[in-house]
Amino acid sequence: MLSNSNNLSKLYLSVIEDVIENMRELILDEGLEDRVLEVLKQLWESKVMQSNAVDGLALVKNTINSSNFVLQLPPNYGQNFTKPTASMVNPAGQNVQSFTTKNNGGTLATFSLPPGVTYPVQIPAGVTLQTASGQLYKVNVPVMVTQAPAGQCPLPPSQLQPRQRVPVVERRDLCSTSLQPAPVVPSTVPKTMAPLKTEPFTPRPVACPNAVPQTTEQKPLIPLVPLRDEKPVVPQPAVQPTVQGNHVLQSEAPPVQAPFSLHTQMSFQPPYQPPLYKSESPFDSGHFTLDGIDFDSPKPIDMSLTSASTQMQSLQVKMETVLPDGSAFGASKVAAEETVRQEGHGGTADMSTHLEGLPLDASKLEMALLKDYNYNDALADIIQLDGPSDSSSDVEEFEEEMGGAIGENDFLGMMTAEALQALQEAEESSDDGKSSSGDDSVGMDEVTVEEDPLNSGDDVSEQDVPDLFDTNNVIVCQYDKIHRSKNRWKFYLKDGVMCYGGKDYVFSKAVGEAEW
Amino acid sequence: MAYQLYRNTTLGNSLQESLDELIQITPQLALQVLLQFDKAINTALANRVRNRVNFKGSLNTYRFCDNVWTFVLNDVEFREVTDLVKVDKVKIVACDGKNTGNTAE
Repeated sequence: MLSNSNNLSKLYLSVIEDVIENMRELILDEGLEDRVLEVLKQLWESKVMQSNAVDGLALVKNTINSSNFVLQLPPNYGQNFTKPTASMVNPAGQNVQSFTTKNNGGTLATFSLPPGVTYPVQIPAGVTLQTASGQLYKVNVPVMVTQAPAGQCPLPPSQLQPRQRVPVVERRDLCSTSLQPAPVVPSTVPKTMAPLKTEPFTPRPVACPNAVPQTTEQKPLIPLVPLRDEKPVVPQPAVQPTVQGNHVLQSEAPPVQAPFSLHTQMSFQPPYQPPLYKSESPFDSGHFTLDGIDFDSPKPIDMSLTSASTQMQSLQVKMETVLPDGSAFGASKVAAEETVRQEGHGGTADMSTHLEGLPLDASKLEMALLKDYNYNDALADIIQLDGPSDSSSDVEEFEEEMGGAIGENDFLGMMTAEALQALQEAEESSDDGKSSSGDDSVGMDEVTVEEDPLNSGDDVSEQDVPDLFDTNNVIVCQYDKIHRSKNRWKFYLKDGVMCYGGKDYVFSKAVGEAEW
Repeated sequence: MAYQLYRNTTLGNSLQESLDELIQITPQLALQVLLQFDKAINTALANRVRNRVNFKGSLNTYRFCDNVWTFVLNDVEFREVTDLVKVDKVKIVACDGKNTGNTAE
């Protein structure tokens, strides 16, 4: 069992590696960076480990990947390195040895941490740290990396103020997300510093990782805190990584101090005063708009010849509102405008003659509208098409054309009759010739209630089917041969992945028997 | 084109979830990743796995549609060289292994 789980872990890891490697070129072609791939890999591995489907996956992983640190040292670092070496002896003597020996080779040194406890680790100034994923971090001041107890969030904001000298950790790569302390990948050895962690890009609130290497005094995490705090303030800019990255770089250029970070934080706040009551300004001037219609200040509308043009213009506006969807009316409106302009002060009688050239419906409408002026108040310029309030006969006729209230009522009456007939046909009982729909509906209810128990005995097995296929124990494989003899089935399967009992298994060949 | 059959495994599902979580990865790119996964898992299972399993149980349902067999077995015993595992219910989804030129899911 142990060997199988070991093999399975190796298999899964090798699959993950293959996929990631094959995707590397494609990812770069897309314009994304390697970090995305690394984040994907971390997420993937963490999920597989969390599922507990594979025993000892984490263990296998750690034996394979024992070093996450790649130290890139400046060319003349060997000379400077002797001094800090001494300071590093006490906290982590083993590490120092690996440091120095590998430094001789060149600028790149692999900082390999033994699986044991390595914290606190003091990293001297001027060191550029590079993770295996390729991120570069330059430490300008000596940094001590300690391991915080589980559940403790790094850098409570109160620690910002007492610090005097704040180291600047610059990100050489122009990648997006800032130096936020990321959730630690649940490997057994959290070796990297917080800013060096590859974190997911989504601007989620940073969860307190299990063991975050917390830097104590002169920390590079100071610029991180304000950025973290900015998240709830500015969720939208954070979604765009490039924007956020620019902000990060800007904030890091000068020595980062707490007040400066606050300034940057404030600068990110969105503008707080939206313009209010823009639409109400027309009210002040005495000219208000209602649904896009411009109404003049109330004045009596008379049918005198001098104001006919004004009336026609307002009439046209009303035509627009009354019949917004009538393109024909729009054409008639244009025609009416032209007639108005041509005629100048043409009276209503002249208008009616000119309206004869328009479509019949338009002319009727305009006549009705004109007559409305005589009846309605000056303020009630909106013509009410529906409802029984209109008194003019022409308006009633107009309503009927438009399917007015009376017509609607008749229509409803027809509907109920039809519904009644439909109900009558559906029912099996003979006494359904009642006129009232209420009784019929009650009768229907009674019938349906009686029918439910009758039908409930049918299709018992329907419920089994959805549950039957919803199981966690699944085998996905390929079949070589499926054989059946009467009710005895034989399965010859290959290349399968099994999951049962919460555990994963694989096989290259499987043979099975079952009786149906 | 390899079978997309293995996407509904622990490995495949965790990959799909991870792809869903990462917003930088476009849907087209995510599809490419899954296709790469299909190839990788098919190759790995064909080349890197060398073990044999026997099982025995009772067949509850069987289905053969689009050249895909789906079985539901009850009270199954899985026997490997080393150990024995019993499960109440197991679903087997099997694609045609003779000709892997089709993409089926």
